[in-house]
Amino acid sequence: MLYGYGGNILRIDLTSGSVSTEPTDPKIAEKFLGGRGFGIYFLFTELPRGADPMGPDNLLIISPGPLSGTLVPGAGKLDITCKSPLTGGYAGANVGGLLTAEIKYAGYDSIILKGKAPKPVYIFVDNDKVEIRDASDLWGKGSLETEKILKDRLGEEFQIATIGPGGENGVKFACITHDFGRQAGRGGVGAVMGSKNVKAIAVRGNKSIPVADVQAFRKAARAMYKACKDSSGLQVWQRYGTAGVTTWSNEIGAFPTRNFSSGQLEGYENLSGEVMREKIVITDKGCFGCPSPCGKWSHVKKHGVRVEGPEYESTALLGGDCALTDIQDVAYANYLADDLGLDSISAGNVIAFAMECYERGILTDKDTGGIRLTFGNAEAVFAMLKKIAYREGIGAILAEGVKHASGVFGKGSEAFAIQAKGMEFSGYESHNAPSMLLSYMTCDVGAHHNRSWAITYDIQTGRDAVTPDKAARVIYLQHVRPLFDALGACRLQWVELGLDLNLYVPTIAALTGLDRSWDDLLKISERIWNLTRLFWFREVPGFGRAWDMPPARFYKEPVVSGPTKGKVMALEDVERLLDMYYEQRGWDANGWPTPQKLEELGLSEFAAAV
Amino acid sequence: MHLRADSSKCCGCRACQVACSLANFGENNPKKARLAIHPHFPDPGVFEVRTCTQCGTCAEVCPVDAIPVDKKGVYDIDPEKCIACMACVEACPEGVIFVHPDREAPFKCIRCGQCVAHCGMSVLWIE
Amino acid sequence: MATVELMGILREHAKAGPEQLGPAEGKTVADVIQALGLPADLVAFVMVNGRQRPKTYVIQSEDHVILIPLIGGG
Repeated sequence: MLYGYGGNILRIDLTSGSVSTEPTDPKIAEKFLGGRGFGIYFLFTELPRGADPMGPDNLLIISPGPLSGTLVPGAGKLDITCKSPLTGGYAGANVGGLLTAEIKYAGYDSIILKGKAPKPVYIFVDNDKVEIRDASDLWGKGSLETEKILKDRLGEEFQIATIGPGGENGVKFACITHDFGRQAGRGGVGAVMGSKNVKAIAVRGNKSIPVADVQAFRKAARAMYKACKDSSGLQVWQRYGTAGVTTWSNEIGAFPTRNFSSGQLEGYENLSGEVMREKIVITDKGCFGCPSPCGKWSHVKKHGVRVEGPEYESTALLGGDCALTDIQDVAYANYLADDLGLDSISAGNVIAFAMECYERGILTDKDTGGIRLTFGNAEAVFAMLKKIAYREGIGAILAEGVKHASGVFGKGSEAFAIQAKGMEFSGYESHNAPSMLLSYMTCDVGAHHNRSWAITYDIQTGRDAVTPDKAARVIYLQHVRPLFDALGACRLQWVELGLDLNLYVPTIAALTGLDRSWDDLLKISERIWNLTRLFWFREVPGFGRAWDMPPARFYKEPVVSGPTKGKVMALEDVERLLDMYYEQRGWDANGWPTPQKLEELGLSEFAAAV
Repeated sequence: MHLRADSSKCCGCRACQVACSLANFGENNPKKARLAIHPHFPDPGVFEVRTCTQCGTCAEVCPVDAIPVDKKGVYDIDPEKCIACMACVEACPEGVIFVHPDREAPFKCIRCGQCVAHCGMSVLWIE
Repeated sequence: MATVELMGILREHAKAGPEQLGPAEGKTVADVIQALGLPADLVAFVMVNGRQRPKTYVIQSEDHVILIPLIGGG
């Protein structure tokens, strides 16, 4: 009995239409835990080397973790892994809501999609009954409309994930949407789902998750909920969610503004969580098991839509980066991104880049089809989101991502295409935050903050310092935070409510029946991190140090305004950060894990396959 | 006295349902819970919580008197006496008598309070 | 009378306690943070009577102000 797990791996071959299951291997569960760990394990071992990310050989691996669906605060996170069409490397996107729990109740620990369906389909899972059903009546519809149709048709108990026109049209940063407003956003997971002709996934399950020691588990879980409810951060977090960060981010000059040229937007007070609350928020909406729901279901009266959000990242990239100051405009842009099925972070970043190109004369009205693509023009943001989703005109170039677009536009625009490894930076302007910049440089999907959110460390220890402890901090966070992605639970109770990490140890032990210390679990996370690194080396020709470097804006162009005006990194400091990072990770000068490190983590066999 | 809910505060997390199933069946399975959460999305965008008011309608319609009430006013279904006719499920005005394929007899809230203890949004209370 | 409360690590970082300050009415939150000897950037959330306010907010006579640090990340 594999305590804490759904028990089975579900495999669907969309080309042949065949469906099979096999029991989840306890040895793989022990070494890779679940969620993001299962994602990289199956991707590395089963993806044909060099597979086209938009081709039938790519795998879409959907995995809850052992905590998903259990009585643990924030037990609602799902990992979706594939080879990324945006970066050519590893994509592991994470989505909240209730789907992860439902997959466990149906009895699964991973759903692995391969091949391509001959025509549009949706995957139907009801416990042991798995069908590939016709979706030709759904293809072309928005994400949100599709979910509503399937909920009405199948019943409210079904948990649904959908793609929108963005995923159908292969936009390289297309996302997968679930529960009307949660996204597996980054890396183009929606494009991969669309490339397989899969419009939606619908899951229902009613099985119990086996618990090794029920009384011990109940006691440990109760302690976690009590600690959350007693937290001094609870009120802020429940009221605003991540939107509470907007004010602070601007005050410290870390709010992406006008394509990361500044860290504070004039008029940022109008984007605050409190303004959101006053103007648009109706309901606090949570993921499975969450006592501190960060989701804000909003009625955007100005534009007549309902949307979950905007949360901080959407406000940062669709708001600050494009210089929009009306929260209702940002919310509408968020709604469009959700329904069209575009990652709001990449979309905002790419549009801001295009705005800078337009203001510099690199793009003209002829290129934009008459749209005045200037910073602050909300109508232009709305129009560009649609052009991108439908690959119209300049939207077809932007749909390939900011790195590709800068290569097409040229004229020095590569220097301000704000990306690393081909993925657009998320919401922390990092000219004056070395730990955060290093986090973006070394994140394993490309420039994303979720693996290591280190900016508070820069604030606490000194923003100008470039010291070995900063690399150490990034590495530590890159083990702790993704551990939650492997466990299938949310890290924000720890991050925002100060929930003691030690409380997780007895809970996980009582659930799984395996006694592991926090260090044991971190070792699994380090293993996952290094295997992911090997995947990049295997799949991306010439992969190495150059791929860990940030765009030139961060070390050539000082911040133009705001609290960090004039700040810029020195290139030699950027290089030094990377050197310290590699050394502390046990990697060589090109960022390749050394044989000793691989041996230590039990990855030598995997390395031989690279 | 019965379990009460302020639906306007509910965030739809279902922790109440998992706490219930663990307490009353010793299993981690919200599909075996004894209160209902109905999401209404995208419009109006709210959660509706339904709890047992211990009204006794189930006991009234039960043809075999399988739903006794205790001294504290709590109705509970006796699975030994129950003939699984489902009359109580149909009759319940709140729709909070539940069935599950694993169990012959339906089950209902016995006001144990475990849901209250785990709700982070202070939706639930017993009064 | 306005009251000021510190949460979490702010209590350790402050060089003066809120009780040692003079009346807070009429001062901005930023002024109070400075008087407490706290680095402004460490204060992530400012809650006044249960609502978030920016540090430019001017404190009123019956306000209850809570200063909250950002604990770890997003």
